[in-house]
Amino acid sequence: MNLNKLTISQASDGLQNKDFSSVELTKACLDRIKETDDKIKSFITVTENYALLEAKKADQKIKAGDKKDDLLLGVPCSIKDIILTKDILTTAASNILKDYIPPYDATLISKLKKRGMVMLGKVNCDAFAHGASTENSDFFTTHNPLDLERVPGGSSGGSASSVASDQCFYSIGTDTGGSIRQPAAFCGVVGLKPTYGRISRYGLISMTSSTDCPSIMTKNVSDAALILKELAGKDKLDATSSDQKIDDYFELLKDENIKNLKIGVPKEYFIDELNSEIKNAVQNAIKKLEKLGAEIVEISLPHTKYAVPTYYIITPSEISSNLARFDGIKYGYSEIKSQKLKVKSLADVYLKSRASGFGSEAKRRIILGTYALSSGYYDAYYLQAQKARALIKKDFDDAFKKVDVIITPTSPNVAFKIGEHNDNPLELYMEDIFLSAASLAGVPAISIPCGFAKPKNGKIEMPIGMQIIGKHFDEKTILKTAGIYEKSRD
Amino acid sequence: MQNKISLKEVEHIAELAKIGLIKEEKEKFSEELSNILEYIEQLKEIDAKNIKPVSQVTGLVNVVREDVAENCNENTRKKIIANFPEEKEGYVKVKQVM
Repeated sequence: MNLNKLTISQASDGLQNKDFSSVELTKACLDRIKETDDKIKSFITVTENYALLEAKKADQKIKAGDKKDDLLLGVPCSIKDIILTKDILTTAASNILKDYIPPYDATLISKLKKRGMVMLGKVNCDAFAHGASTENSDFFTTHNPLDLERVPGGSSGGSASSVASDQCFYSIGTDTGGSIRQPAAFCGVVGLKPTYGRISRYGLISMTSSTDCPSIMTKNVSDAALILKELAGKDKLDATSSDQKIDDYFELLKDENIKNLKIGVPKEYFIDELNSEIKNAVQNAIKKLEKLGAEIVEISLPHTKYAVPTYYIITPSEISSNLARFDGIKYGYSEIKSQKLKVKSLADVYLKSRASGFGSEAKRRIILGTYALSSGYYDAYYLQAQKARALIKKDFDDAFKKVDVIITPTSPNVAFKIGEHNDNPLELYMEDIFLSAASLAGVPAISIPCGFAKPKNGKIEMPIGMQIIGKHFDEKTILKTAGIYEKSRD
Repeated sequence: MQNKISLKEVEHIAELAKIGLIKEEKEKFSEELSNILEYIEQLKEIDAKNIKPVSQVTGLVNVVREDVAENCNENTRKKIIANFPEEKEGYVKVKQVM
């Protein structure tokens, strides 16, 4: 049996039944990483000794028999390298943090540690999560395990590739404008972005504070449900975290009745640019849910086309502010001692540390954001974008008066080739076309696999993702819909 | 066609953002950012006169806490200081400002 291929639930059952140990699970994953990661390149840092140590501790707890409800206990995972892990290198896949050792844990890491987390290592992403392919990592590009010539998506590309290639059982990443949903779609796994504020942002390396969401990548829907329950909740260290009721998402999946469920299908998401095989796959999935009892309602989200331009004003603006903290003074890469660069003044330290420490995309976004916020342009760009955001949010508010969930494709195309969009940043921004609206509105959304399509420029069939969007704090209904669809495919 | 963001403007913004750019970067950004802005221009077609801008979407208002300092344990303090690029007696050391 390949232990690393199990789901979290299966692994947890096996651990509690003493069929195998956490050390064995961990070794199976570490072997898989050794065997495959020179080609896939999911990991920036593999924490082998730490993982084995935590696995041993988990085995002791299981032996003692007092942790039967802890389904995550001893089940190995990977963590996106933008989430702070105390005493373990955390780089944001950027040169400016290439040697950064955080003195504290993100809240979500503290929570997972309490549940007996076995972390195998830190996985690659676009630097500071700026991108949709991991090609913007300052270190290396991650490859799609289903076709190594293709990207895994991004920014949480290492999370997706590590889960899809059974290097781990689950991964925690972030989704700011699609960064968990799109790579989940590209690699054929499940990606859940909860409601904004559902999971504490404390200890994420901030990108766009008003849309950043810690997010979950798993092999199936029920695994995502059980992790959400562990990570959700108000945190006094994140003022924007929410105290809304947390449901028992895992237990609620047992309810398979969708007789009264109303599914909205927005016409703005089934456009000409959409690959026809993807269109068919998503429409077939919707028909299947209709057969199972759901009611399908055609809806309109009229401001959809403004989501990407709005996102690419708001995001760079917040980035230009958030990335101001990397100044070569407090931590991170610094030219303060550089003889060669003749660093004499305080301003030199800023200018030169940031010049060498940031990659192209970070610089591009900082410049764009600074421009959008600068005097004379603020009203035309930033303020206008915030108003557009209000309209995008209202689209969802209005739609959710009529329907319970909204179903769309996750991405208009399957995974593209490495290098395919290199010359044009705008082309890459368009990857977010079906994703950024939900981020701007703060509503939860999940991407689940719903078939395969052959890319125009390739022979290997690649996975298709279907996105299910829900009301604020109603993760239980999108998980339920996703779970029912997933079961219908088995 | 002239770029929407000129080379000079890129230089000015880079100065505001405290990022040193080399000549090639300035030229590349002037062109790329102009293309991006041109795409973003479509937001102007929205009639937004009577719309209230939004930045917080889940309905939270004025989340506050007591303004009390919490002590940092010595071990954490040492780790924070270990990250300083330049340090003197536990303080961040900077270059002269003037």
